[in-house]
Amino acid sequence: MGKRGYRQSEHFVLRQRGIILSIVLLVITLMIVVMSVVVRQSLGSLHQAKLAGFSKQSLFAAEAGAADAMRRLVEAPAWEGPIPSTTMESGSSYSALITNNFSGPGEQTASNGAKVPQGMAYVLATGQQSSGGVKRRVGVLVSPSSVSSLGIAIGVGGMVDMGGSKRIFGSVKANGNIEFSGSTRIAPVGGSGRVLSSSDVDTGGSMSLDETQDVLARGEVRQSPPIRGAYLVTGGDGSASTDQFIADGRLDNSLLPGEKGQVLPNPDPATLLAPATLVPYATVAPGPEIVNYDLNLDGKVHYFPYGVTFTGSSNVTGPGTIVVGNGSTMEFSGSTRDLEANLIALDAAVPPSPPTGGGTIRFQGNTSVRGLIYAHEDVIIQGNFDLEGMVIAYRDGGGDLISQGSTKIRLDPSALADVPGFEAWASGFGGVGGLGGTSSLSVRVWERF
Amino acid sequence: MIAVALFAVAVVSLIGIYPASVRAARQSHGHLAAVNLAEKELEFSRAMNYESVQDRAKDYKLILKTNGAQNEIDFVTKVTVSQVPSRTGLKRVKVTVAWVGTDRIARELMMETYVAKLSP
Repeated sequence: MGKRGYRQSEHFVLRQRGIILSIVLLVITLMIVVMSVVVRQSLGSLHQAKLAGFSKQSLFAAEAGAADAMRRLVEAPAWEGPIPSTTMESGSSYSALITNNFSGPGEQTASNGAKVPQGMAYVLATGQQSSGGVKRRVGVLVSPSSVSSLGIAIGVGGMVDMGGSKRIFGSVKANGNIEFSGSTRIAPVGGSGRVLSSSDVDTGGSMSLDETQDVLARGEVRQSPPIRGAYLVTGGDGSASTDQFIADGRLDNSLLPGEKGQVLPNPDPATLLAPATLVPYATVAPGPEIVNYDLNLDGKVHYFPYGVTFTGSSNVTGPGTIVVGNGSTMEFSGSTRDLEANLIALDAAVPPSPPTGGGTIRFQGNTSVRGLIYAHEDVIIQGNFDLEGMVIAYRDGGGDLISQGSTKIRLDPSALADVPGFEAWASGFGGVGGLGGTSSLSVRVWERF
Repeated sequence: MIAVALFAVAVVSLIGIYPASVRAARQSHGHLAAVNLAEKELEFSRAMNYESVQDRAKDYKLILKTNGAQNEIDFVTKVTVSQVPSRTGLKRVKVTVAWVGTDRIARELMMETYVAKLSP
């Protein structure tokens, strides 16, 4: 190899080294770029996760503010707020503005532009997490209500014995046993879809509740197969939830000093059977009126002192109220019925004596009812039954709900609101330990911003 | 030689960064899971009847996937309910979620809200 050849070879090696170095630098650059993207993504997702937590805590602080404001409205319906910035134990804070239109002359507009109808109130609460940052708001529209916070679809002084396939929206509570056979599904209304017995609960067949609800009994709970969904199924309960209903015939919804429990409604007959809206039926004691003709309730109270039997294809149109007296029976049979009516069976006792029983309501065939079903003895259902309202049955020491067939019962929290004689229960359903306060609230709209 | 040295230094430092990045990703997954569990418990409490909102605790064994790797993490949720001082009908619901991440560091997240009794 000559001198010239050696120089060419040296130049070649140097050039090769330069290329390798460039490639390595390029690879390193690429690696750094890729890694920085990965690291940035990881750190970014951690930051995002923390922000999500802060945002949720701000939201729950706002909801705490809404809860605080609603409670103040329960205690003082004329209260108009606002709630100044209030710090919670965790350091989060909330404040709230109130647009109280419970007794206003017409629609009002809240500070965020929300429309507040007459007879309602609007709570706009703002929450912020302790380390500052994102603020969240909730807007809640509330109205005075009867029983929504309690949510009892079925309340009886005796036992509940339901067979067949059934769906119940709202809570079931009984002083006596609760026995379910066949398929049972219970869903909450207004946060309540519970099964509560001051005696035993006995279930056979498939039964499911929402996972936020419970099955409680003072006595035993027997379940076969196991109840699904409920977060708690227990016997031997000693909480206020399984305190017996107070069912002594009192006409007012108030507790005596030291009393605990909920007062089962008992209508004031003087109001329920007031002449202004009463349509009395002449009947020969002790036989029931046989209604085989069309009946228009026309918003009135139709009173059958010795019972009534709706037969054949007689058509009953509502709205209105049907009452039987003197411990007699109200019976529906024959063709499919669709009733928009309150159905009330009274005993012969003179209030405030405890109901002695006898007032029974019986359904046969396919029946659909929108309203209150109230009996001073039993409610007996045979066949397909669909109710949107509430079932209450009690007498002194008893009063049962017995059903067979396919049943669907959905609580209407306002079922007691417009029924004459039940005014004492239309703004509350009794309480625990005689707490003060004036009225219940129900949530109409709950918005998160 | 210089290229090899540079490459080695870069690879070593990037190898050092990568686990930290994976740890951050795992931590964010764990944190997000804890936030969701806390939210679930608070929503659960809000849906309950007022009288039923009481102390409770629950364990959740969750399998979290990060960069293809699966990790089982034990989350312990504890709900503590107390009366808001000098207020009737208003309960404070505090949720703490405790977990030990894959990095063996114990972590805790806390959230709280109030629930109100809407009847007298």
